[in-house]
Amino acid sequence: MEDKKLASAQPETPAEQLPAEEEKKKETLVPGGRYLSTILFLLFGVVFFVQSVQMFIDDPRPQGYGTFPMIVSGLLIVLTIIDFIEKTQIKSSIAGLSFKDKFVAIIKFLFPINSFVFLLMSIAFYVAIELGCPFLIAAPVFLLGSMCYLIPHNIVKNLIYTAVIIAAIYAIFTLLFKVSLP
Amino acid sequence: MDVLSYLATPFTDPLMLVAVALGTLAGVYVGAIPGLTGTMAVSLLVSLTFGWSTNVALAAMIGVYIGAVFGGSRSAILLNIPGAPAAVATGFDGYPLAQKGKAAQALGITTTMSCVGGIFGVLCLAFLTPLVSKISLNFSPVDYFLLGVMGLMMIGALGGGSMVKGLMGACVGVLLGRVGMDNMSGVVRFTFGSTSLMAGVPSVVAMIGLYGFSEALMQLKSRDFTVVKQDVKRIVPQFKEVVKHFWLTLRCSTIGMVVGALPGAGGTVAALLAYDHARRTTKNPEVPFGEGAIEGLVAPESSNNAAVGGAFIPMLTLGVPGDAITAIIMSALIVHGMQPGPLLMQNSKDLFYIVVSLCLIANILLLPFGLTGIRLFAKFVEIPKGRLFPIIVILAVTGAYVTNNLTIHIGWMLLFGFLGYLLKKFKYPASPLVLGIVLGNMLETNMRNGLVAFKGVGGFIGSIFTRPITFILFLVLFYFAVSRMRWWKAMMSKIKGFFKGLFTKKKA
Repeated sequence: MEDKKLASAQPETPAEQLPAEEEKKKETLVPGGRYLSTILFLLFGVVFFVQSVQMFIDDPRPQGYGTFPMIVSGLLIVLTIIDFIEKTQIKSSIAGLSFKDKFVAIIKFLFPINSFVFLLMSIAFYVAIELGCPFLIAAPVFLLGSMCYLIPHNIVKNLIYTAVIIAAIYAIFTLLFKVSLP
Repeated sequence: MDVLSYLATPFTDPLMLVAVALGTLAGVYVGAIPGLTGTMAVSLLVSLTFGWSTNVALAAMIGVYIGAVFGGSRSAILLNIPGAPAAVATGFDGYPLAQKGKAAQALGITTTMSCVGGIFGVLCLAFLTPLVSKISLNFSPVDYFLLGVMGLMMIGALGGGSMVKGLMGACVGVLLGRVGMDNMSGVVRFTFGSTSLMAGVPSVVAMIGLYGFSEALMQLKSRDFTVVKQDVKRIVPQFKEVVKHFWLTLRCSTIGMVVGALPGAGGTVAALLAYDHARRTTKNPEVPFGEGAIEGLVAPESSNNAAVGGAFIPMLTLGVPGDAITAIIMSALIVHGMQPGPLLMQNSKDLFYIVVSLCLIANILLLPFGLTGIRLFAKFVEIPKGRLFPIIVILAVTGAYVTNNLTIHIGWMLLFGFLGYLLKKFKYPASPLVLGIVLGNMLETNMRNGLVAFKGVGGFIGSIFTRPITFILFLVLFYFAVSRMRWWKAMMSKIKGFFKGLFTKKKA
């Protein structure tokens, strides 16, 4: 419901067909689009900038190893500020809500339940492989688990898909190209 | 007469024909599997071909190379995971077409245009080798730097209307690409003490995550798994469609051939520049770029396949490989007792024309082989999304792992996928980030080399106005930059209006 509301707030006409001013009037910022995205970009830029400056101090030549990342991270900080200023002219879709409601809206927007569960399953799959679980065990479990979560009504078909895909991957990578799987 | 007999050599040895045909077919399918790149396939092949005759080994390697460059487009169109960096631009319009049920049409047009572009590149290899090798030899680090900046100008096309947002993504990509050991000084940068970060971020892994995994997260937000029925009736493009795009194909093939001939630039830069060129020069595309424009497929595909012919030029004439695969082929030739380089045309003229002939055969074979399996591949997209996306993640995980046999790369892939997801959610384009990772190294290395070669910032800037090639590149770059600005567009439309008015008055 939340997503549908947000989607309807977005302009449906291709951006190029609208004059810039008119487009700006119709546009609304997604939840977290003003502050959260700016903070993330700024944080990333500042971390890299501070490290680059330290490198530049160690080797202050223009061709030194700190110069290029310093220029790029500095540029990122400037661009983030420009982007933030541009965004102040656009209305936020969560304007007027209390801090708590804003927080909930951002979480709901960023992590719809399906995407969130799928993300957790993928991370669990990676952790299992990192901990030494063989690919040929972890992969079918992930594949079947995620398919059954997303399409719960046809488990037999999900099993067939899992078996065919794992067999195909094993045949192509291990048997044909002699590439080892994790 | 000698030349003709050299060119006919593959036809006198059935084994060479079989090797180039099987190589091309294998390359098409290897390139289509995320994680299995042409570089990997050719390097695996090298160890097999040590005992073969030089010509047969060369035939197999050239076949795989040309097939794999094309094959990368299949996964880009169907899964939004480019099989190789050179296919990144193909996905911009190919994937939206697949989402509209036109995957077969997209695959058909990419096959045809790859074939046309490839043949154009080979003809240039045959006739323009001395000229192009002379030009590419004169390229300085500053020229490569400007070329990299030109590639970044693509951001304007990918920024979703906002140059600032596009540039922000590119900066993040460039910075993430700096993680790991600096290849010029050996200093470890931005690893925060982690040894597993020392190897850096491979662009293929980033690409798989940003396109494949992030797309899965985006599309799984609801349980609406409506199947997009693919129209597989029309695969082979109509002749008039090929003719319609022929002029664009030729222009993009020329871009591909020239950029491919520049050592280190390769098909990726060529495809991006060609896509940007198509976007600028196509006045009224039937479908806007980024939403399934056919021109958005024609340009990168003709260009990256033409770049193959171009990549052979510096390898054969200067002994400098044009890209990673030609480097492997060159080392295989050395093992076989051949010495590519300036003396090749004097000592082994036959080898040069055999390469030309084999490239031509492989490109012609690309048409029938490229059109095989399209119905089957297109059906793959018809799998319900609830099953398709877990399969994509498994392919993405496998692809990320096999690039270097490191499990940390799976983590990188997931991280990039999540990053891409966040960017898309906040309405920032993800493609500039990939562009930043791919072009970042080229930009930094050549900027630093240029500063050393021209003795500081003054010399670096001064070289732009003292070297003709650099000055021309700078003018092109300047045009690229200003032609995006509103005042320029307004001025050009006024000038056009003035001349139009002048002619209509005369007619009256």
